[in-house]
Amino acid sequence: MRFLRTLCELRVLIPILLLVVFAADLASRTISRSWYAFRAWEAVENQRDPGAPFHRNQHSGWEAYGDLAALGNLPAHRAYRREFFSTDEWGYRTSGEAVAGFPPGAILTGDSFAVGQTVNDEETLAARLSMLSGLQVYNAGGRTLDLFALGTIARRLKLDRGTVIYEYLDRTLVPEPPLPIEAPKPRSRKIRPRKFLEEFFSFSPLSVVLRRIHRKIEDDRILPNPSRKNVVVARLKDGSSMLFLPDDDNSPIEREPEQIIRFWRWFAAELGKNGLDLLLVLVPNKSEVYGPLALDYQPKNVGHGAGHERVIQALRSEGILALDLTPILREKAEAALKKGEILYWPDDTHWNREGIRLAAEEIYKVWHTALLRREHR
Amino acid sequence: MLFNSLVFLYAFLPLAYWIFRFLRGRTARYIWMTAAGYLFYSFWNPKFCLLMAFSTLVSYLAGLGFLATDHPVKRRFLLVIPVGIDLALLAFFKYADFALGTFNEMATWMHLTTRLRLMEVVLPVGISFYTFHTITYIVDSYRRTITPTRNFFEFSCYVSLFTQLVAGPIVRFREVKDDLERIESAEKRADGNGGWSLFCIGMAKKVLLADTIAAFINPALMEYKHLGTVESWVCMLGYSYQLYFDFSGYSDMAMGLGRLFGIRIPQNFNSPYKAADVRDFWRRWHISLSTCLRDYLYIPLGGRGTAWSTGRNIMITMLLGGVWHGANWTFVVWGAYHGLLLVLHRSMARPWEKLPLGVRRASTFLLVLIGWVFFRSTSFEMAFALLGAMFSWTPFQGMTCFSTLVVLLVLATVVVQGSPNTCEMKHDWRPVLRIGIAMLLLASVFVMYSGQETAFLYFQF
Repeated sequence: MRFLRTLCELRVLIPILLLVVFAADLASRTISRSWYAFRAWEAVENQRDPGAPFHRNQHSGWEAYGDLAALGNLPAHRAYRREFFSTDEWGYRTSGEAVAGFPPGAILTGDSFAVGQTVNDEETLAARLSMLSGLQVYNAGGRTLDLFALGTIARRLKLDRGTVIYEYLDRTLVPEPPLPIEAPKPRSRKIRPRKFLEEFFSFSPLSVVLRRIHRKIEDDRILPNPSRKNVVVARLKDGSSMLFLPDDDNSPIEREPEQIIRFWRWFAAELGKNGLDLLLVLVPNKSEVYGPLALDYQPKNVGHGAGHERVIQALRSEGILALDLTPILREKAEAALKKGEILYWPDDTHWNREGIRLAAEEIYKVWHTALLRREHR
Repeated sequence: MLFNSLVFLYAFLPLAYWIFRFLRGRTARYIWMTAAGYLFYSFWNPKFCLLMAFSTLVSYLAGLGFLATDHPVKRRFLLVIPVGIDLALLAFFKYADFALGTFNEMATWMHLTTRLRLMEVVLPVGISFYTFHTITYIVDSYRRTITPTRNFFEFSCYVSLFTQLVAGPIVRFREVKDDLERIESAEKRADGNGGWSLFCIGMAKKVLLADTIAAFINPALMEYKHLGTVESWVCMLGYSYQLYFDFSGYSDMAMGLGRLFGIRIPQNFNSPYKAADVRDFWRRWHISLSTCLRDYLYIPLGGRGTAWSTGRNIMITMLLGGVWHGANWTFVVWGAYHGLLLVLHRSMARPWEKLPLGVRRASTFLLVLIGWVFFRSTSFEMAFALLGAMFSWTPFQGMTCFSTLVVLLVLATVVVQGSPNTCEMKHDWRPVLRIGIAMLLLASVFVMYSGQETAFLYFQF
């Protein structure tokens, strides 16, 4: 009784309560991210080992939805789909069992478009290209602009002469060359207490779960939804809705085409030293493709500008394979919309299975020509 | 680091407290509390610890000087130079860019081509508070209201005490001197139950009330040009409560933390929205600042004298009080507005007091709310747009979750007008209510976990 009385005193109760919550926080950090990630990327992304973009040997499935629906806290706009995500022993995404025995032919690299957001392993760009070509296209997506990693992968695959297909999102500015080509530095073992504390307390699985609960009532009915301003909800010509990132003026290709040309010229030359050819694929972001098809959303930067043409022509004139998917995807998107089909996920920034399939076909046309040319040399 | 942050609750506070309890000697505790204060402050920017250390050293040396001499000229020198240094630091970090920006605006207005480049000075968090701590120490030492301390660590402990370091209350040395001098027996004066009670209630006021109200009104106030009359009034009512819960919540937490360490931090809010007139309001709102302004500005200016001199002294005091709040002309206008109200109250006190209490309270609250328009506005354009919407009918334009906000404000009104403030509470709760207090903290912690950590409004001052 006396013990209970003491326990009920605030000077004892509050510290115990805080301790219990802290213990729950610590315990939650032992739970695999798969349990609370809304898609594969956050669950398997490897932030500790700089040599591997994802955790090694992962084989998991998710009921995933798009990053824009998550960003804007718009559950009504979620388009759930099954995502099966596997990684190999080196921490890169695999292309499924069907292409496992193919001889090595190319390395695909780039950002999340190359990795394949919320599509299954056999639906990624690398898997599609493998099926079309009969050669293994290794999915090295997730390691951007990393010549060292590409060289390492080429040696692992024993790829003496091959192609590096680089998926380049046109919203990304590349740095002024040259870049250092070096092995990734291991994480510093030096413990900085302040940084450690900030990082430790900035994220915890408990905070993810509680944040999700809190966001359920941030629905613009009970509480305002502060995340709503992070996305634009637009109506397409067929009446369906689609989410976009808010308009931005960011088009490095239009602003700095010469810097981009210099960079890819240098990149191609470095690859050439290892016997690899570059095939640069310009991928448009969603606003570029669906902006013209939206009724109530007019992004500022839609306009296949002179910068795109300049980069493609300049690289081609120097013998570097370059493909701009923007006009192709725009045309296909408009045609598909008339049939009620879309090429990008409605609730995500990325292309969907159909968009990837079409992109793979276009890339293969260019790559196939290069393969034939190489054979005849 | 904020009080409403996980790193404070889980790491800093337990460490500060248990090491304090472990250390027994007075000097050891002074040193530890000083170190804890600097560690707390360094989470914002370690470099600015040097600034605080400099201000501390200058003031400490001034105190020693006062102990060493009775010569009036030397004492005046010891008063003017350190206070001047503190005010110069405050002026530079807080008002340099404001002055330059004002010059540039005036140059534009007068069609001059001269422009001065802004220095983009970073405002050190809490500088308005710790410089006031050192200034009050120097002035009180000069006036012989206190005996300056020879113990550097005692003084540095006072200046850097983390409980009130960055957002007040402005605690004068004489108010905590006894507790500091008996710090080795702090356990005898420590009040864990009362301290945690204050802390939890303060946390709930900040996290559950102030921040929730802010979530409704801030997006609306960003679109101030499109607010109708009803929304403008509701937003300003919301802001009145947000500011009160935010600031008084912080003060409650500061008092609660002080109690855990056996240091009695004085009350800073006394139900200001129950004030019956403007003068009463300033006896209840930010008491530590208003008493500082009274003791170190209003009274030295001459205080109450003729109608003209009293009015002048009030206006100067309130104008500078407004300036203290921030480097923006809207704060100056806010200060002038309250100065004017105080001057008018002096001449209308008798007829005012004949009004029913309810009418006086409601009218005072209305006048204060109107003043908050300038306090909240980032520009005169915003202030006049809000006042225009409030006082000339504009139809209801709509506002997200309007009905929820109204319910919340009704609840806030009941809390503010109908319940005792935290200093009127005994904090000796029955077990059921203790569970309730604990649940308030739990709810606050859960909101903090959900990523809603927000700074206290008075940090910007």
